[in-house]
Amino acid sequence: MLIILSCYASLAQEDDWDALLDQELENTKIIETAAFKSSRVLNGLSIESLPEKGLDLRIAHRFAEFNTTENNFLGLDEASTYFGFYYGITDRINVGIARATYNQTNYGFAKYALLRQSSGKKKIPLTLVLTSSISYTSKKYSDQKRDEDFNSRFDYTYQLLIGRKFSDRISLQLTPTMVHRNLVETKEENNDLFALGLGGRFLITKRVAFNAEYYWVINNIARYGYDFYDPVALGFDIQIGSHVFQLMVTNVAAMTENKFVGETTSNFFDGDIRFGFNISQIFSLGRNKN
Amino acid sequence: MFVFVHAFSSAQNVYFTRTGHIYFISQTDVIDIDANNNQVASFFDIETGKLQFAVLIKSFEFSLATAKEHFNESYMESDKYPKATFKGEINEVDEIDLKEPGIYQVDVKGSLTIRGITKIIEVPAEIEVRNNAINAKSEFVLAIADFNIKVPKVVQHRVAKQVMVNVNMDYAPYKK
Repeated sequence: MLIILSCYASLAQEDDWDALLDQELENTKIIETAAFKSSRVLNGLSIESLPEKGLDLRIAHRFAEFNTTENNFLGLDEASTYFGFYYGITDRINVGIARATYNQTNYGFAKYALLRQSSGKKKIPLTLVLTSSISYTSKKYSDQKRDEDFNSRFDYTYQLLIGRKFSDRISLQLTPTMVHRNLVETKEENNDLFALGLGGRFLITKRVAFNAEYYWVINNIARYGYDFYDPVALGFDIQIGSHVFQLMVTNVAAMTENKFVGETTSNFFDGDIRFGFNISQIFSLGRNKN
Repeated sequence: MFVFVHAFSSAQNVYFTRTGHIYFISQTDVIDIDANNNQVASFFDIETGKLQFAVLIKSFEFSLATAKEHFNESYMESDKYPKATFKGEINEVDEIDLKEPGIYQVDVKGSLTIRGITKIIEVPAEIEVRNNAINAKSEFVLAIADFNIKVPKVVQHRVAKQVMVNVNMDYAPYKK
């Protein structure tokens, strides 16, 4: 009888250990990473931050629309291009600079993760990232007065990226956006544009994800009778080692927030669709202490 | 009454930590990839020599900026297999008295479960019994193929087939 009881006691103790260890693991602090494979969902910034000392070399192209007539090889003969460097100052603070051929734009951004989705004792259900970007249009204007007006060349974009990785496959992001333009082309246009972005990804295999992104531009109005349209993009992330290739169809020609939110002239739903890609190569500049 | 005494005495032999440390490194000619984890939970019974470990894969922190994502998503599939566990015991438990302060060289044998695959391993360890505290250390090598970790061809030169693992645990008496 005693032996049976003491055996039972020692068995009970081991079972206990399983349960107790599992309980302990629930308190492990884990910051969710890889909600998206890249710093951009497709066109717009994503909640994904580069880790400290991570350097992201980015090259992107948006080609002409498929449905432009004449002989231009599905639009591939013409491209709007972009190259830039993004850098992780810390895991929470990222900065980036870029040059885009669209209006010969110089671009810079800073990104700060206010909250990071995490589990453990302190559960945080969302990632919140504040971003601010500045764009300087360096193209030459034929009107001399316009050309010399330095301040008029600046646009500013402010975004709050609200995102959550719902599972290893599904992440969603909501992106309230404000674009301030120091000068707009016509009197009727608003200097401040408001937009709401919606982005999501579905991880198909470990290395391939499907992404979709839409920006609802709330108060944009026509310029010289030509309408602007909401940016749309559908595409795939393909990860090979530390490269991420983002291949997409989109109506966006510009690759900086101020321009694609404010000046998208192609109508995705009328077949004005372009092929585009982002290539991202991430390097580690040094090692982190941990 | 006897049972009660048994339970009571066994509780005093049980040591615990939830801040145990595991370090591992994959070394190749191209690159060294290493990670630390300071959130390892473990029980150790110095009377029976039984040991048990549990750790979440996602709580490994890498010194190389981009390694963590690849480790979790591609290699360890940590959403599918969130934890690694070890259940084992010290072989020499009958020959030595782990209650006496001192340093003991021992062998630990048990089952290591990573990515849902369980392997029996036997590794050397050093146990230092102090007053009211125990330190346990071990260093061993794991073959990643044993746990069905697949490395894509393009990065095979960057990931070692054998990973060196270092375990260092500071236990304190377990209080319920």
